[in-house]
Amino acid sequence: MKLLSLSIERLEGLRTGFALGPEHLTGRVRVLHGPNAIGKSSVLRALKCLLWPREAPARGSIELEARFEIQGNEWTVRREGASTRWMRDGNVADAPPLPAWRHASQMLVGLDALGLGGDREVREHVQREMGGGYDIAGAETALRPGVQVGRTQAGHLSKAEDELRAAQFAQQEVIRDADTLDEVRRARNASLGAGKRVVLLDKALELAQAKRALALTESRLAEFPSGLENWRGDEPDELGKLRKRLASAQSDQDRAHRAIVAVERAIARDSIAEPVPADVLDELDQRVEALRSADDAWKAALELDSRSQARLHAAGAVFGANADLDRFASLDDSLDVEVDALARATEVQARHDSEVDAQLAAIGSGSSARPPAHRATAALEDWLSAPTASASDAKPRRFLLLLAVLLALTAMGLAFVHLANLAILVLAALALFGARAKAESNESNRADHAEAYARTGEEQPTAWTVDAVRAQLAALREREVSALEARARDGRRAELTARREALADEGRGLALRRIELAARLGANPTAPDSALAAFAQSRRSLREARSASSEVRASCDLHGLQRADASASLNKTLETHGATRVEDLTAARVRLKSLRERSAELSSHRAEIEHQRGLERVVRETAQDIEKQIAIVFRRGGLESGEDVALQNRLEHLEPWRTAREDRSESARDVERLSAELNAKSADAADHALADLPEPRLESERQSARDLAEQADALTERVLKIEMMLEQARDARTLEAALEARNDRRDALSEAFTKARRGVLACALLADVRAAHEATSRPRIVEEAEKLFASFTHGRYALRVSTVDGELAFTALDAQNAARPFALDELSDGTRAQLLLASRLAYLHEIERGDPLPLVLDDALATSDPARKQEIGAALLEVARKENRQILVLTSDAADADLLRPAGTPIGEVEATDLAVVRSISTPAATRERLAAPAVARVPDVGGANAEQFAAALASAGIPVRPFDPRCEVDEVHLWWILHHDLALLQRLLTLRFDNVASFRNAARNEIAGVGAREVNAMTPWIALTSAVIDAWRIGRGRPIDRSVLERAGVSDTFIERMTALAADVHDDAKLWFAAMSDGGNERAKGYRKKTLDQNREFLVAERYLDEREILDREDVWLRVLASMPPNHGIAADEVRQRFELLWQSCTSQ
Amino acid sequence: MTLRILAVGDIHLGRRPGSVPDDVAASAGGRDALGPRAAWQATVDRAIQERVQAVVLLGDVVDDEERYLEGWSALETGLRRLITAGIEVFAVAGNHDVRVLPRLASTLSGLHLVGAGGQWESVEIANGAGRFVGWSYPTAHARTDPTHDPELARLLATRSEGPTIGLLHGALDAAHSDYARFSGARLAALGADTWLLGHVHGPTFARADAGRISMGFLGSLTALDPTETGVHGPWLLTYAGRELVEAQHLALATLRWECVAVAVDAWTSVEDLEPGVTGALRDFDAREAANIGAARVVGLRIELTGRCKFHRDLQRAIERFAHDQLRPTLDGRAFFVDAIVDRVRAELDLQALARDTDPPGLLAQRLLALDALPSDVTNTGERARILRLARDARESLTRRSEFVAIPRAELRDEVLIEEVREAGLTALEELLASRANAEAGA
Repeated sequence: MKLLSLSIERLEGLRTGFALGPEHLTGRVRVLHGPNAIGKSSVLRALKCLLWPREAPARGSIELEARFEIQGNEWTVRREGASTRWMRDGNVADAPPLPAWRHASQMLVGLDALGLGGDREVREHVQREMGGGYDIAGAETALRPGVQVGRTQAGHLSKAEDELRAAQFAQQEVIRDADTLDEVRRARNASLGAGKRVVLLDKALELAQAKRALALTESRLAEFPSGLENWRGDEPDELGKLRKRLASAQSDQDRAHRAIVAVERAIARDSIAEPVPADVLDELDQRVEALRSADDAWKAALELDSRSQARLHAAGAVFGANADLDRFASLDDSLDVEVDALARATEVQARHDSEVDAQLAAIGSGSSARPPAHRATAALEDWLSAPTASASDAKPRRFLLLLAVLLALTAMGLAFVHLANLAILVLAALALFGARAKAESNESNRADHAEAYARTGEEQPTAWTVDAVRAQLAALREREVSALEARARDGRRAELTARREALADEGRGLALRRIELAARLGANPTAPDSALAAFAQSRRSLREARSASSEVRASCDLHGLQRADASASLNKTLETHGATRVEDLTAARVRLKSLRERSAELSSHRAEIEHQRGLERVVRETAQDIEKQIAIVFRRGGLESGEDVALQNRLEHLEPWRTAREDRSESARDVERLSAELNAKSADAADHALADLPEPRLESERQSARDLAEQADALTERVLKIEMMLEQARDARTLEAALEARNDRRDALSEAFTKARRGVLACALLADVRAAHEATSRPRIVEEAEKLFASFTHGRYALRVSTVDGELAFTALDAQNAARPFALDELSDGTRAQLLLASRLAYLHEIERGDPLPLVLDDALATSDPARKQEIGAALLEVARKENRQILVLTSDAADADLLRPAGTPIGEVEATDLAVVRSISTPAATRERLAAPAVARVPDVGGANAEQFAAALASAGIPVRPFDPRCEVDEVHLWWILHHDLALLQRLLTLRFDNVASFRNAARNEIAGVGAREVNAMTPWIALTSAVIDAWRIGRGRPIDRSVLERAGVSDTFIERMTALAADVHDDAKLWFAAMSDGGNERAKGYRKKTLDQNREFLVAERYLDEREILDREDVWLRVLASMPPNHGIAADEVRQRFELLWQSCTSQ
Repeated sequence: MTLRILAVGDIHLGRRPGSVPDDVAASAGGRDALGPRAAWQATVDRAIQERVQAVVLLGDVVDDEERYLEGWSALETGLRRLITAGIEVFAVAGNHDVRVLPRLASTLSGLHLVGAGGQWESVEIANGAGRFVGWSYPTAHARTDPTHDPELARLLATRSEGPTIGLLHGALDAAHSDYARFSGARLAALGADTWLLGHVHGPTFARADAGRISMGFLGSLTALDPTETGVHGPWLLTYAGRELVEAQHLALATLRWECVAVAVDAWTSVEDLEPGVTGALRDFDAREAANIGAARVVGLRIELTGRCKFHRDLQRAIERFAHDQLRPTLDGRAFFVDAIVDRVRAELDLQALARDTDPPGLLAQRLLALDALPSDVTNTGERARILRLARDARESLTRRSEFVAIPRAELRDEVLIEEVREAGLTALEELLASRANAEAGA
């Protein structure tokens, strides 16, 4: 089968179409080269879409066409969208027989198909063929216990055992403590006993100390002078007070003496020798008082006499200077009564007279009128009280009636049928009839009244209208009242006139009496009554004045006598007592006062003298007493009075002595008390004996006891704690639970072991069987691959296919050294590519159903160096020649055409097609530059830089150190991480352009100068360390997945986009990807078959993309790294640790 | 004179029965109600109820010297009750209670520790109605045979009217045991009327030596794990004179373990699995109802045996079968299935397969070689090679860090052959299935 032409008119990702004609595709090996994005991969995709339209569905619009030569026939296939049409020799035909889609990758080889990983499909096929059609490896995989089997259970068991050990340890602790419990209790009891003894010893020690203090105070007391016990200490104050009092007494004594002398002098100076006795003075007082009384009475009598004379003169003046006062005085007193009676009668008469005059004036004059007849007024009132309607009132009613009739008639004339008008008419008639009846009744009454007036003769009212009758009735009533009043006034006037006349008679009688009296009095007969009364009054006054004057005069005389007697008595008394006489009361009083005062003064002096003398005596006695007290004070201390200095000396010792004495008393009390207390606390003779022990020994014993007693609390606490722990331990069941858990875990591990054991034994048997089978049979595909490989390598290498540890192993045997088989990863790239190509072609032979299928290599040689490319090119050409197989090589390197063309190759066997020319696309200069190899950077010298500084220098030079990524293989690790410790070697390798482990290994393998055994030996342990870190870190993490991985895992094109997107969502983490796919709710997982997912999982697990183990923590990783290090690696432990830390840090920063 | 003794085997107080599901244990009143503590209390009750003259403990009263505290209270309480009830209590110390029993005996005046310190001792029971001759562990391990102590012979040479009952806690006929190993034959010949033995949890007490004496292990008081199947409880021994007239094993344990074999030969498909298992439960209940005693919980291990054509399907069905959901209650007892053990063999014609040289044929040849007769030199050599291969593989497995906790015992060839046969048949089934699958896929 050969591709003759290919036309890509429309294909997703390609802007413009292009076509490859026979001129671009002929030749045994055709190299299609061009820069990236020129359409190389589009050629591959187009072929897939055309040959397997069902498995490679179109995305977007698609329009392709190709021509093939198959078994001598020309086939054309055209695809437009989902429609694919085959034509053979111009006729529509069914599609030719083609390998299954799953084999497409064998002929359309992608980027990594010839990579280190090899081809899984080929491997599986080979493996199955080697098993005689039985999947021994599959059976082994199914039966072999996974690496995780038992680990979880072992981890659980380990944890359970740890817990059990911890619980056992705790219990052992408790038991150990419990074993010591009795001992601790004894110690505690001893400690408690020591506590009690400490108290006893404290007492004993206190007692000893008290005794010592007592002895000390007694010795101090003995040093003081004797007699201090009688001193009180306040003696100086006492003496001071006593002496002060003594001085005061002496002063008082002097003062009294001087007072006596002074009073005696005053007495001597006095006029009277002896004081007048009090009773004499009282008598003198009485005398003076009698004199005063007599004098006062005499003077009052004189005064009264004087006033009496004045009155007498006044009374006499009333009657004139010449009147005979005596006569007047002798008149009968009855005249006075008569004068008074006359005055009263005159007064009464005058009052009555004026009253009558007033009444008469009030009544005045006038005649009385005739009162109107009562009947007339009564008749008028009756008439007025009759019904009020009158004939005049009826007139309007008639008018209304008439009006109503007229209206009714008018209405009837207008509308005779109206009943209302008829009713109005009836009502008006009734009103008119009532008015007429009333008027007739009034007329009847007036007639009756006129008849009555006629009968009485009274004037009949002229008008009989109501208003007229009313006015007439009012006039009648006024006239009637006036007549009655006039009659009353006339009667009264007559009565008053009579009375006035009687009063005039009475006045005249009184005048007569007045004349008579005036005559009898001697007064003017015309004198008014008032003059008579005054005259009578004067006469009584005169008489009384005369009478009084007589009495006063007599009294005056009497008092004059009495006064003279009193004066005489007084003078006599005065004379009796040596006093001079006095003339009058004033002098008497003065004399008496003087006498009294002198007497009192003299008595006072004498009393004072007595007092002072008594005082002088008392003070003297007091002073003597004080002097005695002073003497006592001094004698109290055995001193004589006046020994003040000695006293002071003694007193200075008093306070210390007292303190000493108190100390001694206190000490004595303490001794007594402590002895009693110690006796009370002592339980036995030994305790009692403590009282006699010396103080140092007591202190020593007490310290020991105290030390022991101080442990009591701690020991008690410990006892309680042990008891509590015992109690808790007995109830806890912690151990039971831990043991149960441990047993359960152990059972689980045993079960896992049983399963694992069965699997291991089964695998061992299968491995034995497989070895036996492989030794006796070799499948065709292997023979074919061996032949091809030998051919490719011109016999230098022989291919050996075997199974090692269940894995298919391709090894190459060097013809020159057959004892040394080379594994795939030990071969150079070219040899490896030859080997894989051989195996692939052998497989193609197995699956091809007709003509050899074209082999398309898409950038499959990109990683090969020129020499390898030449070798591969030779192999490819050989295959093309032998098998007549078309081989298309898609590459971005135009030089590959030359490299793939072995020397001496005839023209036309290896041809090249520049796709850029085909597509008429001239690559812009800029693009060329970009595609061109970068300028070689110069590796800086290390100098004195450390690793980090050197890394920075490398970055500055444009050779950055890639971070350590544990997800990558160790081959991809930058050498900086390996040679962190040997920067010189690092610098040298970088200069040789070896920057990662793979390039270093290749260099070593190819024996490139500068990379020899020494370097390999130096780096191997570090690479192993790095690899161990990567391996351990990957546990539970797996490798990142991407589209190519998913494709290899069996994700179909239908799902690849979705699955790739999902992988990107979960950061290329296979575990998360699988979890998401297993999640029923994930939209992207919808429609995905579980069986396919299981297959994917199987692949991902097998290829270590999916690792279902638990992720290890730092220390676990470290332990694994240590365990993985080769023996005798020669690196110091701390260096290993440092490197691990460096790598781990980079791991965790990913 | 009649003497009644209640003899109690290993109690292992401080241990709880494992493998009982939580819900089952809870339904029975908790794990304590199924464990040694409850069994001990029931034993004490029974001793008082039966008015026995003595109770004797055959060692391993507590499970662990380091854990004795948790069993202490229950043990002490029970002993006090017995002593208070006037029952004499005797004990020999086992390897688990070297320190505990002496400590307890020192604080509990009614408890007689027989043979303390590894010195044979004879003590009278019930005022001379009988006597115990016993020996207690002086240390946790006893690497010599205590029955060779001349003192034992001296003590046994003295005869009495009542029975002479030997008490010993040790390993019977175990050549390399560190636990007072002794010979059964020697024991029978020593002259005691009865030998009560402790240490082994499976009860074996019976008459021996043509009925001349009675001897055997009393078994654990209650089953401690699923391997301790059958009746567990104390023994009520009645003597008339020196003759043991009755030995009654009292099924006082509240937990009973059993292993039930179910043959699958008659099964036609995996659908027979569930009815087969449930039927086995009912059959067991019907069969053992009279002997089940005080058991309130019965745990069964179903062992499927026989041959069937659908063995691989059956294996998967067993894995899928939710046996832990099977919780029938029969006659008031809670039954549960602890595990279903697959001992079924695929129905394969190894002879026919072995005639081919393809991988199944080669594998069948190897499996047949396991059964080679000694006269078949070729195959015995092949068997030896396979066993070496298997030992190496097994050894590599046991060296794996996760399995270092698995105790390594001496692996006898018979056991290994059985393991290899089982694994080989499984591999053969898998191999054949892979071919079938490949053909089906193609």
